[in-house]
Amino acid sequence: MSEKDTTAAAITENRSEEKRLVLVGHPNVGKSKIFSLLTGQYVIVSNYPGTTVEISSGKATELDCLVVDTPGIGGIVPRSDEELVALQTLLTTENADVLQIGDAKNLRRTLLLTLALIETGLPLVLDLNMTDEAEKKGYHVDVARLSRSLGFPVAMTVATEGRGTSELLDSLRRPARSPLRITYDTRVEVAALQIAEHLPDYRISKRAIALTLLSANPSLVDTLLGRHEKECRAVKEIIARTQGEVLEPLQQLIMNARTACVERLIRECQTQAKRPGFRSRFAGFLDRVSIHPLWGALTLFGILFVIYEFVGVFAAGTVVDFFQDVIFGEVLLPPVVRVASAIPFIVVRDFLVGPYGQITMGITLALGIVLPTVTAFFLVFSILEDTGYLPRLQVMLNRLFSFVGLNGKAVIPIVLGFGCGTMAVIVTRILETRRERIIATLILALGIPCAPQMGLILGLFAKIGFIPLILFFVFLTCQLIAAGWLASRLFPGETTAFVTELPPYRLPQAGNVASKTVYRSYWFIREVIPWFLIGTAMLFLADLTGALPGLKRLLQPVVVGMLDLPAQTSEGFILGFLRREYVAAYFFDMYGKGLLDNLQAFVSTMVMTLFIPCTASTFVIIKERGTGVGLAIVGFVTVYAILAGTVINFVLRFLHVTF
Amino acid sequence: MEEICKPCTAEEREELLEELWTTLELDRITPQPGSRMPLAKLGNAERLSLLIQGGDIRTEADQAVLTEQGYQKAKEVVRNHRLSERLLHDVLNLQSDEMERSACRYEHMLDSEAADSICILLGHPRTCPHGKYIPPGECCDAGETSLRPLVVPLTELDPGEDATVAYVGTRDNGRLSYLTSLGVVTGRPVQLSQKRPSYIVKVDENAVAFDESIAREIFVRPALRRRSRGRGGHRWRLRWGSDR
Repeated sequence: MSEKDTTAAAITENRSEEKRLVLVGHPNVGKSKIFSLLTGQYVIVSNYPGTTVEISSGKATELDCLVVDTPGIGGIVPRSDEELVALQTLLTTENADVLQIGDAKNLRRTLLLTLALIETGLPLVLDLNMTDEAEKKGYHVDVARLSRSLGFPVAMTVATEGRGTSELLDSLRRPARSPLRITYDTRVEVAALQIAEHLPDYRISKRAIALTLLSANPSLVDTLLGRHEKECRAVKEIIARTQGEVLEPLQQLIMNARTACVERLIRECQTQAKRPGFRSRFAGFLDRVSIHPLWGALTLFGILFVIYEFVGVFAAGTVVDFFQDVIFGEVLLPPVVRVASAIPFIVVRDFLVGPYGQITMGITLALGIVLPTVTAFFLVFSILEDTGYLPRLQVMLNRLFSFVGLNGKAVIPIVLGFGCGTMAVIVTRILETRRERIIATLILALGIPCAPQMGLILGLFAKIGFIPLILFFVFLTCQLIAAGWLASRLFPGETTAFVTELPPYRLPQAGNVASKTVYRSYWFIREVIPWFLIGTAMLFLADLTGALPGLKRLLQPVVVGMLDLPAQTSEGFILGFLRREYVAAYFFDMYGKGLLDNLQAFVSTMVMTLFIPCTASTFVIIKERGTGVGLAIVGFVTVYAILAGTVINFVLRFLHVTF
Repeated sequence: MEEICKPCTAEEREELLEELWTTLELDRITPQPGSRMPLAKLGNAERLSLLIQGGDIRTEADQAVLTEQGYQKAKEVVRNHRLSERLLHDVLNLQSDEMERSACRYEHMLDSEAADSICILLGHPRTCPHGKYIPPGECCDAGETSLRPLVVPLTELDPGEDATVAYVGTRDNGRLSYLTSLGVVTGRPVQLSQKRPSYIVKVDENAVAFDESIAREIFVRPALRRRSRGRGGHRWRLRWGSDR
């Protein structure tokens, strides 16, 4: 995730003799959890495919090697940038052993990938994770036998409980190349040999690459061989010629051979005891409710209501009031102000505790308002993630998303956007086409409020009322849909079809939820405090030099004339260029002091939500989408926010709706 | 294709069982497991040993006794043969010897599903054109009247129906490999849980969700539909408990 700044390049460029262990596996089988177990480093672990989009690496002291975690791969053919990462890591990592992590209850699927990995010729270890779930379903795997058949160690773990870790470590000390060799259809074998002649040297066997290319769409040849034009053409020709000789896709021929081998292994090594009715009745019921066309929608509203009550009413209301009035207002600030007033220089004193003071404004906003709301939001969000609800949400929202040119898969980045826009823009990598990534980024930049913003919006509306809140989100959703729809017409192209797997519902573990919440809140606050201090310092300077009134006057026609807001809100909008939650906190504070009426609060919140994202996510947007597209998105969003705010303001005033 | 061309003992066994069945009928015995007949009537020892080794009959003194397995197999071949005759005679208007020759080939090729489809198409005929009794199949007991194609896209199934994947007809290799990895592979049993708001299919331990465009690319052989299952009307109802 974005929290990890290690990249593929950083890992592979380091050409030392150090051993590396690459973790590979299907999505949502527990790679990140095993990574944490091996390295002792914390990475975000969730119950949905796509939690990891970037490589993270860490030292496993017990094994004396560098462990590299990769994003999950769906099939053997990469479908998106994020899935390509795992392949590229294998292609370029020196001195690599591979640890495949698989779902013990999905042995077929796991072994199908194992056979593809065997082709690479790298030393392997297989870990069957989540054996507890497999046992519940009555599966039993003869690990010793499987290990003998495959020719390398096989371990069994329940990573969430740490069960089997020592056996896994033991296996990892003796990875081995498998003697297993699958013979494919003669035409495939011949083509693989021919392709191999044209391939440059990689860290894995040329046969493995050739087989992958034969299975994939022609675009993969460009991706891997783009720089070698002649070879690229030759390989494409071989593939096309071979495909011309057979009816079914070449991939099918390769898969037939592998499937036959997998079936043999399964017959030898896996038994399933019949345990009728053992599946959790409650989980089965929950599953059907949450993806039912009618009850599923009600479930979603129910969940949203709980979030509103917990984050908005409780955290942003009760807890924030307590922090502001009691902790800051009575306990912390008075003594600090008393100490500071002893400072003889008025400028320094104002800088610290004045109206734009670092402590009285910067720190108070960050810790008094933002921290409690963000923590509450991350807490709810982590619980939601760990249950496995997010993939169900994809199922529910797929149709709506297809209207704006996206598919259900985009639910993940969009929902993450409610956590942090920066993170979400990076996660758009799981989307298959550039078009989808652009549309998703636009929607994220335009109107997905991030956690602190959301918390403050919920807090604000907890005071204004529930109906205005609904109205607010209806307005917002309509605008996002309209913008997305327009964008999907603007960038013509096909909407990719939606396929995903639904992981089982799992009971969130208190430990994981807690560490995730703490980790994210800590990361967030650490990121945010400097920006709050800088923002406050800028306001202080602007006020001191008299630039602030000038800027306010400059923005007056827009802020006062078009939006009917008090002139002071322009300070907020100026700060909006720094961090969105700063504005949110600022307006929240103003509303609390009675400087905004209900309608003004509504309009200013709307403009702020639509307004450009914070500097951090603006940078990420430009980095991920390119300067041209990035700036176009940011420019559009800024202009649109002001226009939309004006229209809403006029219409509501015209209709005499003041809440 | 190779297997059909090879001289095939399975086919020979089927022919023998068919002969046995007809002989019983000629003796006015309704064939059933345990039906007996003199060994002498079954011809030479080589042919006999084929049936005995295959477990289709066992011998008691000079009598051959039809086993349960032999009975089922014989019944299927005879049914296939006579249904084929009906089809060729009634629908394709073939003459008697041409009909006979083709029916002899079809009886080995049809599986029970295909035979049931022919049976439904012809309205569950009781006798063949020669007036011989056609053993009833599952479809006759269920009294099915509507004929469905044997292979349909997933979109044609009703929620809750079981099927077997026939093939995945996609041109996109990425999608094909993902579906393969999820277990949506030729020959694997699947169950369609719902169609709205997205399609959800259970394969092995996976639940796979996808939209209609993909459902149209997955072709399946539906399992025989049970008559007792009501159709429609349960879309909004929820069952308590686990599936299946």
